[in-house]
Amino acid sequence: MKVEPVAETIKITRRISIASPYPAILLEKEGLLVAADLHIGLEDEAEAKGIHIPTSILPIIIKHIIKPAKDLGCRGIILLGDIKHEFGPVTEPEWFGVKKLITKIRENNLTVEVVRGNHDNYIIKVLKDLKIPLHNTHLKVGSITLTHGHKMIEYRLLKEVILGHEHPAITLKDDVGVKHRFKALIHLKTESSRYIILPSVSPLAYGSDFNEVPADKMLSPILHTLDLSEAEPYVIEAGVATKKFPKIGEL
Amino acid sequence: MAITVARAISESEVANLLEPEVSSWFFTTFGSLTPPQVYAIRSIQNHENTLIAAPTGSGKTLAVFLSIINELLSMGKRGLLEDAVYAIYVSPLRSLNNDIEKNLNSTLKGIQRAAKIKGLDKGLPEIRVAVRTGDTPSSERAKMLRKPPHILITTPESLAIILCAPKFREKLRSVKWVIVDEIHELCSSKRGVHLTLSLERLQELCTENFTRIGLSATIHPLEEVAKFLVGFENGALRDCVIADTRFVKPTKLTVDLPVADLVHTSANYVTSRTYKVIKNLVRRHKTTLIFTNTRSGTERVVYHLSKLNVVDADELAAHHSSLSREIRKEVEDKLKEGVMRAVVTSTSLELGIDIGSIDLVVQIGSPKSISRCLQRIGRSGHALNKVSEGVLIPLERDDLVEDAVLAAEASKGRLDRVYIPKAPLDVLAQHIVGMAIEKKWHIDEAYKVLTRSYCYRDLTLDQMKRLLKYLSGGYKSLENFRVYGKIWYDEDEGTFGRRGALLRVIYATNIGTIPDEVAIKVYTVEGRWVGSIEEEFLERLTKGDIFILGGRLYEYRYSKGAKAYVKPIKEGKPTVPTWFSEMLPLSFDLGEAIGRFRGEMFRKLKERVAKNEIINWVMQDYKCTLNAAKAILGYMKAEYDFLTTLGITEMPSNKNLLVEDYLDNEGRQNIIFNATFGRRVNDALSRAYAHILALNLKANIMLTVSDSGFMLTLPRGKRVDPHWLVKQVGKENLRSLLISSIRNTELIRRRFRHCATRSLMVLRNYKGHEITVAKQQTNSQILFKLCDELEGFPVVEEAYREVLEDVMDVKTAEEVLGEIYLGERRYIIAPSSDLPSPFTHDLILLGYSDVVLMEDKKALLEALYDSVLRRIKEKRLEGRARR
Repeated sequence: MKVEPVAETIKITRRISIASPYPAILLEKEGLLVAADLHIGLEDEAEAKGIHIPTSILPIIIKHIIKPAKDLGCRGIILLGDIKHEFGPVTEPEWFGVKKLITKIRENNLTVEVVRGNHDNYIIKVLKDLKIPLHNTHLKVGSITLTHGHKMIEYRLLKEVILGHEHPAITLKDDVGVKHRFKALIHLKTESSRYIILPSVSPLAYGSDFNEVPADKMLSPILHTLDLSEAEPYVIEAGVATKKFPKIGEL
Repeated sequence: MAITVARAISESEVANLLEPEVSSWFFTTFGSLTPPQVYAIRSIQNHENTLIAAPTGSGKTLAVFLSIINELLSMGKRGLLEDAVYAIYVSPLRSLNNDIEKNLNSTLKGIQRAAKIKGLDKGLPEIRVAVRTGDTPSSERAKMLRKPPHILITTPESLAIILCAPKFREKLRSVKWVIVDEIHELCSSKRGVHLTLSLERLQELCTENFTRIGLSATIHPLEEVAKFLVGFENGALRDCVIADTRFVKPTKLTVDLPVADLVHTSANYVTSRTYKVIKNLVRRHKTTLIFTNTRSGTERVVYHLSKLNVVDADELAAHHSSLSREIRKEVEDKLKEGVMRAVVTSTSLELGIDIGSIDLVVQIGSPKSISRCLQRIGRSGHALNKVSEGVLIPLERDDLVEDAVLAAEASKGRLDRVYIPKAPLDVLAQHIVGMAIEKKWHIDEAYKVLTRSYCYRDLTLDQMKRLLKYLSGGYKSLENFRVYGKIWYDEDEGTFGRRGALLRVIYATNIGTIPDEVAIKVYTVEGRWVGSIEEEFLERLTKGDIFILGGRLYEYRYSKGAKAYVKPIKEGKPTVPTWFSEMLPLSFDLGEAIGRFRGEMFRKLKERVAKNEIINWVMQDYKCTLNAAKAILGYMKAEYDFLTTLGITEMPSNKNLLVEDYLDNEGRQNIIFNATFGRRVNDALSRAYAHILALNLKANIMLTVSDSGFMLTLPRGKRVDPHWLVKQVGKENLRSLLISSIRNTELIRRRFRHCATRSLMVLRNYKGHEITVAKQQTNSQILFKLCDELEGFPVVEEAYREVLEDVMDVKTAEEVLGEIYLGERRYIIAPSSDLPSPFTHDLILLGYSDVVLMEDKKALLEALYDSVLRRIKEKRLEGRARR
């Protein structure tokens, strides 16, 4: 496996940084790393649909969470929903994957908490067995709200909010018109609020193209009424580089 | 080598060899033997492998089946004919299969009648013929199992499936003959490569060595095609007899041009004159077949001809692969009945289905290869003794020279060489799965069977082992190792076999080499359906792009899943580049001939040979009309004069490669290589040079590639010395430069998807569900990234091989570079100029073909960032200007 770079912080706000070049953020004051949408088991679902993924995805997901947490001296990790992929009961590979992830986190003396996502229904029991704190709708860290994003939450919680669910990406065209697609972290500051939307940790999960799909067609109801043209995308090519791009409206 | 030339046979010998009723039927029906029959019957009768090369309509199919039917009848009379398959006929076309079935049945009836007349019909055995393709219903298949046909007609794909059919394959053990039709078409594609492995697997199944018979149109070199047909046994080529009757049909070629000057005449005028010329040709002939090079070209020609009222509407039609099978069938039937006056087609009527009598073939634009041209022209003058008449009508200057040189080469009997792909690993993956279904194999034993195919003679054991590792899920990490393998593979024991009961179904429903291109549905943002686009086209669209669909303008907004959303707009200019075309590449051999012609012409101009003399020479040797000859001279003279004013004394030819250093009016440096090597070679060379520039200048390099040259465009403010540049690429570093330069391109991503599908990594059909191309596509993009990082992953290796060797021609490019190193070819570097030479004008107008980006993802991101900033700045400036 190739050697991956040591994580460095890129500041988004005074208290929130990107754990570059990994698809996660650091809450500096608390020493907590936040990562969203792991979708453990997605590769197995693909296999079940006739798409063979010759490499193993789980080690990549684990590495892209543990490595930045270690590099940046974190004390714990918050998983922002959609830990596993299947909506239904926990499949064997999911069970295996989740356990392996939690073991790895604990081996590294990191704490772990989970904010519930829409794919996580059946995993609650597993997490309870592993004695992992679970937050049903959201988690408050200082003034920051962490929520998965599939459901609207109380308006007063939306001052400073970190979301997952959307798997943001942007598409860029090169000089002859060939499209390239990248994962991106989206940062939007409005008059009253601040939104940070995390990309999925899974290398297999690309979701909405923020510079093409209109806000009201986004998956998350929280985004439906926002003006996304002012949002700033940070392209994150996991394990390679992070690059801030001009506002969505200008792309 | 055991390839030999066929010996002729006399009619009396044939009459002696044949059963009386067969002989009687043949000579009363046909009277005499045609040339392919004279040269092929002896070896087929002797059960020797035979390759027959002859024009369509020359009786080569009958040459084959005459002996086979004769022997089957003779066996039957001796009570030796069993309920088993004895002959397998394989062709790439279902329509051809149906034709063959009809013809064989009428032959058999004819023989029966002849027997009855002679009183020999008592005890005459019944010979059964049947077609088996993907269309054959299961009831028919069941019938075939109970009473197998003696002669089985099928396609390459169906043959591969039959080999795994547990009961029916048993009926194939008795096969004595395999006939491969349209072998010239098959041998240059993965489809044909696939067939060679099926033949070796079939041989493994058969109790004795079967006789291989190949039927080919005009192609060169026949020895290569023969090797493709027969393959190896115990490390030595199998024997093959070649019956070469390619040039038995006289051909008359003319290059015509409606104007005498293509340099100073407007394109619109040339077009309108061209249609008038075609109109006259059609009216003067009974049935004219018109070839264009693209489907869109076909539609355009039909449109213009019908507007000119050339013939009645129902006497004119288009025939191309995008039309439905029913429509194509109708056009073919009307051609056979002789009621069509003109049919316009792209490539779909090139192949051997019987289309009746045609008295003229018109080719619009350059056919790009001599063999293809002769194949097309050969569709006219159906009877063997009739002259095939063809008129070539070029559309632009380079077409004109190509057509003229092509006509000259063809008249000298020179043909371009065929290209046979080498050891594609994706095709091999399908067969390994097929073999695993049959039984448990030892790797050495399987390797021996597979390398008997000519295409796989250089397959390494290491490649095979990596394929087995992939197919058994061995590239996964240990926890889920082997869970998702299609086969099991025991590395220590060196054995492999089938895993799971589903594999047989996967094999049967996913086999084949032709990639699916499914349409993406297009809706307005309000949700109204407006049409479909090809997914390759969607790949090029980003928000704000304008394109035409069904004659209307739309602005692209976004896509989700397999749906694209657009907004109808009233006016605007399409923004999506049109370079992305189905154009055929010029063959290297024809390109070389063009280079030689350029050299010869410049020599004459230098020696001040009289104008009339040159025009006569072009008309005579290059089959040109006066107009065409004048236009060629005008074009060449313009180049000559231009280069002379630059002070150049050594003129471009196939040996002298002119490199121009052209500063365009935006102040950018363009380095233009004049090289008539054809696009496959130029594509390879240009990307390697561009990659050198990208590395050294740390910038993106724009690329324009055509059949007669390529251009590298540097960003503003960057300069490079062409003398330095030409020394940077050599035989030794070409491949590695190319691999780095295509890593971030759409080309490799798309080819990888095709390879992943062929390798059964991404299934098209699984558990009865069709997997949409959009789905395959989305996944393949991510998959490519993941797989590209794996060490020695065979599917990625194949994608790179396909791009380098099949799409491009890296081997010939290496040869060219080797010759440059040895001084056999030289670069002539022109002084810097703000005018490009006339030879390069068409190239410059072409528009960029691709951009060579910096290699790693980090640099790619930086490059994209720069281009985004630049575009934003341009937009702002535009906005300001408008205010």
